[in-house]
Amino acid sequence: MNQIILSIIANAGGVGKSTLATHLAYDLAVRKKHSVALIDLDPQRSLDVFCGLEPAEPAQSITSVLSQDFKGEWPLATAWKIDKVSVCQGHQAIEQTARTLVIHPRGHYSLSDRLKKYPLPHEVVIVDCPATLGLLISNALAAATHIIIPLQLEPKAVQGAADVIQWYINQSLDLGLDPRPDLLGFVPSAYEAGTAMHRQLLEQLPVLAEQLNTKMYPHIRNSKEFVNASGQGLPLQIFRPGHKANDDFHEISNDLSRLING
Amino acid sequence: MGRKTVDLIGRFQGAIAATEEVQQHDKRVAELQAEIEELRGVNKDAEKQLTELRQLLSGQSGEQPIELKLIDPNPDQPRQTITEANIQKKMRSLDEHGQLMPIILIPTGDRYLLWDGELRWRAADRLGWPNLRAVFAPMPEDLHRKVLLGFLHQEGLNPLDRAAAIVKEVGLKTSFETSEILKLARSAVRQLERELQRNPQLPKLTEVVNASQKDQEAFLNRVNLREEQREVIAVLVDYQINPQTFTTRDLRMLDLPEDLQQAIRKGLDGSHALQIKRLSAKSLDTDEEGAFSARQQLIDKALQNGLTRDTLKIEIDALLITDNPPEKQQAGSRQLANLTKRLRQAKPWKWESKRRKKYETLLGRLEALLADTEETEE
Repeated sequence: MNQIILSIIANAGGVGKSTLATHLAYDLAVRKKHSVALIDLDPQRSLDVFCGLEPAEPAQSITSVLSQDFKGEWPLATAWKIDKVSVCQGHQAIEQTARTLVIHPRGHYSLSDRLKKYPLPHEVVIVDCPATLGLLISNALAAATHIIIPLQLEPKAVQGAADVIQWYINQSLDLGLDPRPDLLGFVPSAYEAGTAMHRQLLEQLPVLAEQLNTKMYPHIRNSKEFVNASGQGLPLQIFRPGHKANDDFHEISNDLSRLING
Repeated sequence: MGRKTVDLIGRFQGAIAATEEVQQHDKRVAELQAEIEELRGVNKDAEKQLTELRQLLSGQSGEQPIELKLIDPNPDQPRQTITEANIQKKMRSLDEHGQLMPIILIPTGDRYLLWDGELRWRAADRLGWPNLRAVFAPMPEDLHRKVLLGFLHQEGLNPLDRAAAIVKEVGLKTSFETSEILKLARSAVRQLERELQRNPQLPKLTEVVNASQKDQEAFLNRVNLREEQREVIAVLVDYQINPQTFTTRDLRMLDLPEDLQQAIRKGLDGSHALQIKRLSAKSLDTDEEGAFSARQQLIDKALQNGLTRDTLKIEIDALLITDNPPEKQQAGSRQLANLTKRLRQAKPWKWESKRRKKYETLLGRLEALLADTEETEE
């Protein structure tokens, strides 16, 4: 078994990072029978919403993991009453923690160091990142075996994704990551077939993927039901089991499953 | 419609360039790793062959003590790096246990060339030992094929010696004179290239080189070569030398004027030598002596300052242009037309950043040069 640490990285808000993280976690756990840990590095604590969790105390959140006196007791909650899905909840205080990490000699590698010294037993660890490139995302990159980039088909988000690629390459070099985390691919998100801009951009994706020598996953369609499901703290797969968008995550979890099984 | 579409690829141009650059870098690293593995493999093989050889030789001629001062080190010895720590360790081992294995020497007149045992030789010298026990091998041409392969395929062997060694080997195997070998190899390669072009079903030369001896023979029987040509090519591919590379790269070294050959043996880079070769009596429109001294100046400079290939090229171009203006005028304009065309077709934004930077620098210099000339001409 290979443990996969997948960081979901984007340089824009609202592009579907947490949607991807939680639905992927559900699909991996329920359909592919893998154990999954979700880690929320986002001060907005968006995973709490998607997983229907009450806000955690700082000591019971990711901030305790990144603090200097962490002894390996990961604070983990269970999501959607599914034993195979654990969540290390986020907290606003992580921004303060990040500021203290800046002066720490291994500040960029804190998460990576924790995951190496006190490994999580899960087969997949999914790290949900904040929306701006900074020390916290560097931590997510340094800890990752793989990264995946959600790509919303809007000009601003597209520019953000292009910046992420350059950042990923340069940052991997700067951090001396060897091997560099693999770029699993792009996931076009919130796709609306009725929007001309989305169609135009979608058409260009195969060429882009080829030029970047990476994979372009099938798009995840936009649906109001995603919002409705998160309002209930549930993934779409539980909220609307027969919904077509549920299948949009299959290929990514199939790939991850193959990587886990070697 | 009619609305302008968003150019997705355009927005990713920087990301694409960065990706290409880093992937090229990764590829190079992987290649180098493979190369190291391969070299290790060759060396491991060579070690095993050496042990066999040592036993064989010892049975033939027996072991004799040889004075250390009569031994010359092998300049192409497989072990490239010998550190002080290596020597110290070997000194301790010799001191405690004595010499366990005989060294292998190749008699060369009244002296001996060290084939195997450089570390023991150096350590024994430090310990003040007068001699070492040795077994003797005939000239390296007769050494076991695998050992010779290790020798030929070593990186860092200077290109001139490599070329000479190959030609010598072909000569020994076929009994042709050097000049005949060069002619035969060149004509055979031309013939092979024609055949390969005509018959796409034939394996590529790079594949033939790595094929088994049986497959190599089969290939040589399929292609239409004269018997002498076939003999020469057979030796080359047997040693895993691509005949095409041999004629285009190795033989060019042997064509170098004597002064450049000597310079290579002093450490001049092979590609630098080929550049400097462009300075001939004819191209400089001078006599042999003038060409010789022009070359010598650049050789000295290259050996002393380690000129980059580009600076060297620029210096040579400058010499050729200033010394020979009338002939260059027309050639220059054709060259210019050709260059302009290629520049227009180039896609520098796709290049790796180092190359792109170089390109921009060169453009800048060209502009400066033109501005400067215009001023003078006015």
